Amino acid sequence: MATATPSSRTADRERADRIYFTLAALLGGIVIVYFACVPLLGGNLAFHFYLMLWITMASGFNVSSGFSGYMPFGYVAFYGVGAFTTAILVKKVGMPVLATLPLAGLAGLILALLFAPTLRLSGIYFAIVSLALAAICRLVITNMPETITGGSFGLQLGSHAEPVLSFYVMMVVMLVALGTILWLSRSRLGKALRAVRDDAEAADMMGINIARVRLQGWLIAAFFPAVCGGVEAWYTNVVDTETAFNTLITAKTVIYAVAGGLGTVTGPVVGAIAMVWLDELIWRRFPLLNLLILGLATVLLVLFLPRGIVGTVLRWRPGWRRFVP
Amino acid sequence: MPDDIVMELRQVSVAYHGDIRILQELSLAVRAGKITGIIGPNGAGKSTALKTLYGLLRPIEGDVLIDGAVVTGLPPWRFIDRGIAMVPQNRSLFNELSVEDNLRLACWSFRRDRARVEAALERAYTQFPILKERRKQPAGAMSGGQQRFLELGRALALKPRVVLLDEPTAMIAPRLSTEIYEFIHGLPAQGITVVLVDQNVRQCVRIADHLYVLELGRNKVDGATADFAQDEQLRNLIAEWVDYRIDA
Repeated sequence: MATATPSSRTADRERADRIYFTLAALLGGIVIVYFACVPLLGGNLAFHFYLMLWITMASGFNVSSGFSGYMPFGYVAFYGVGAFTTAILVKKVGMPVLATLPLAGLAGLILALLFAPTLRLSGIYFAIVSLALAAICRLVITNMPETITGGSFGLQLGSHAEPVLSFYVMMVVMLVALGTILWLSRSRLGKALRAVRDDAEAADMMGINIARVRLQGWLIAAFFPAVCGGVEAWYTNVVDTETAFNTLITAKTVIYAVAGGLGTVTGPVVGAIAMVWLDELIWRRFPLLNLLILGLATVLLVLFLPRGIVGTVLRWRPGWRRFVP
Repeated sequence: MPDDIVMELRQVSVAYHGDIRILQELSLAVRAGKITGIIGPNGAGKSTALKTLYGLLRPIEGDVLIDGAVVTGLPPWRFIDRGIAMVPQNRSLFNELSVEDNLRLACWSFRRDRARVEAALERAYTQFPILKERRKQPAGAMSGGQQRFLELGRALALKPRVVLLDEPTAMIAPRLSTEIYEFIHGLPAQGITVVLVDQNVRQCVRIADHLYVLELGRNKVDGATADFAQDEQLRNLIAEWVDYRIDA
């Protein structure tokens, strides 16, 4: 049997990390080329824009539910606040759209900090409270003066619409999100998050500061949907509370993430690709029955593949875990 | 306070849900370089006493002391800094993570000190070579005995001066249990003080230097194990409480 000295163990880990990140960079390169070609070759811009948006949303949600064990049913709150931050800063303050996007993310972080006390809760209690907080966010924005939020008509960004540029920005946001989650899955923080999720008392005994680790995961999970909200506001050129805080956004995010498999980096990506594609297919063939059939497909998926697509494949082929992040 | 006492519960009361008292004015002292055994019938508060010693439970009355200093209310991770480690009764491994990642998480409080982390891993691998063989496997894929070795390895990797063990051989095959008790018996020789809570009274009495017998969360009797063996009355009491007769 080969023995492992500290230096050979470190070398082992570094080699594994190098292979892992090289593969990720290679895949990332393919994804960049594919999406970059969509506007250039006249592909379906809207479909691919929303595909990237859902990949980002589902991946962000995965940090909260897959890594940290929190199921935020009010996840749309971050998205909605991000969308309104961008819209208000562009329309009322006159800032350039691109400059507002980091601020949309910052608004998501601030909201996450405000919600942080709810991290003391767990399971269904956390899920319900987060749903209630999202409803409160929506009500607060709805009841703000019309001069700021545009009231029931919402805010129109007018001449700022740049579908192709916003498409590429969405691509960058998606890549940054995937890179962050890929790093998280290999990092000490990611492992600590999983440890806290699986057994908080044991993690506490290890000396892991549970509250801090949970908060860090929560902030990462909140940042990306807020930026997505900002980019989507730019892409569609209009923001109103009805759509920006629509619970269907949370529902789709949860479905896509669960369909792929929580707790892995690839799960939500595969889930989003499969379900967005299925959604599009059903929409084209059966426009009136779209939600019904999609709901049925989701029920079947959860019944027969409860661990999601990637989770089930990894259960059948546990050896693949080494290559599938 | 005698110099050799490293940890102490002083008149400690602990309650669950506010008013259900599990420990009532319990006092116990852990002597350096010795094995302190805590025995008693089910519900006596043995595990609760250990959790209180490690800061997992906060007493409503009384104090926890380390080296004579009051540490009541400190979180468990502050105990690690003071050289205390604990192996709880229930499995506390992170099953999805590899054996090595489990060991690395034990080094969380000094995670940025790479050399110290590597030394801690080496210590665990030296104590339990099986962990080195399986270091890349998920912890959940190992057998019950190997998982227990990993938990012990994780605690000892931190080079503690006191290790608190709660039912270290619960649900472990008898042959492996004997191996584990022999290992625990050898810890004082490595300079590690042991506090052992065990339902296996026979083994606990065999390896402990000092015994505490608890009943309904209170001290019933305590003393050097050798004294128990020589006192017929004490032996009868022990036999009555924990259904085990200490050999004279």
